[in-house]
Amino acid sequence: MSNDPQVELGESLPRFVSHWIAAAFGYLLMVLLPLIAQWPRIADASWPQWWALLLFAGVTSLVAAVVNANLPVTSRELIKSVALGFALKATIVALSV
Amino acid sequence: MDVSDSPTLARSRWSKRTGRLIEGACFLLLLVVIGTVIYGLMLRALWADGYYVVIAAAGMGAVVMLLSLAQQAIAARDAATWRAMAEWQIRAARNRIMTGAASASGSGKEALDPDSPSYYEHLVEALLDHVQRDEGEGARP
Repeated sequence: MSNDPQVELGESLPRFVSHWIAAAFGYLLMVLLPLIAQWPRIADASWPQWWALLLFAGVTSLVAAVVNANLPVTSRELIKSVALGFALKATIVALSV
Repeated sequence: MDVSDSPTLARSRWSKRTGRLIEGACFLLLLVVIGTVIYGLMLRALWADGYYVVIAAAGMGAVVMLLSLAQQAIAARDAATWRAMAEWQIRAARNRIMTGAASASGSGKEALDPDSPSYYEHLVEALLDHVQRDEGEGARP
């Protein structure tokens, strides 16, 4: 019956969009933390174009948004999306270096 | 009786206060993340002017996310209020049929067993009675 907490999760557009944005913030955090840590002694200034950054952040976060689209929109759940976006970017960095 | 005291109605094992504390800490963390990202983008925008577009997008995204958070919190509170009202009605009906059963058993009839199907018949009857009485009061000006 409805006492089972597993059946109460459901996908909706507001949930999808909120978790998408949260995951994009996690992705951007992983991109920007090295810059903030090095400031003001920037070693290399080779950075992606702004549109490429937005594009890759959006596309990568789609994965996190699809996975998390059934979570409620509370700060606890949004933090999980941030962590997933961060982890996805960290995976990309670890694989491509 | 508080709703959270009843183990069948509240599934969470952590107290409401702990939940609120964690919720607040996560909200602060979320704000720190948003602030850090926008700060980093502003540092980057010192070299590349195009990054102001990313800052604008991040700001808009943050506003949309926080609005959605607030809207969902309000909706959850409304649902909790409805839930509490329904639980109050059920508790009132349950108390009424139990007192009715106690007086009935005093007069020689058998007492109601909460596990028996007839108990739920009485419960639904009492609930319907409540609803009809409320509607009757609402119809009267």
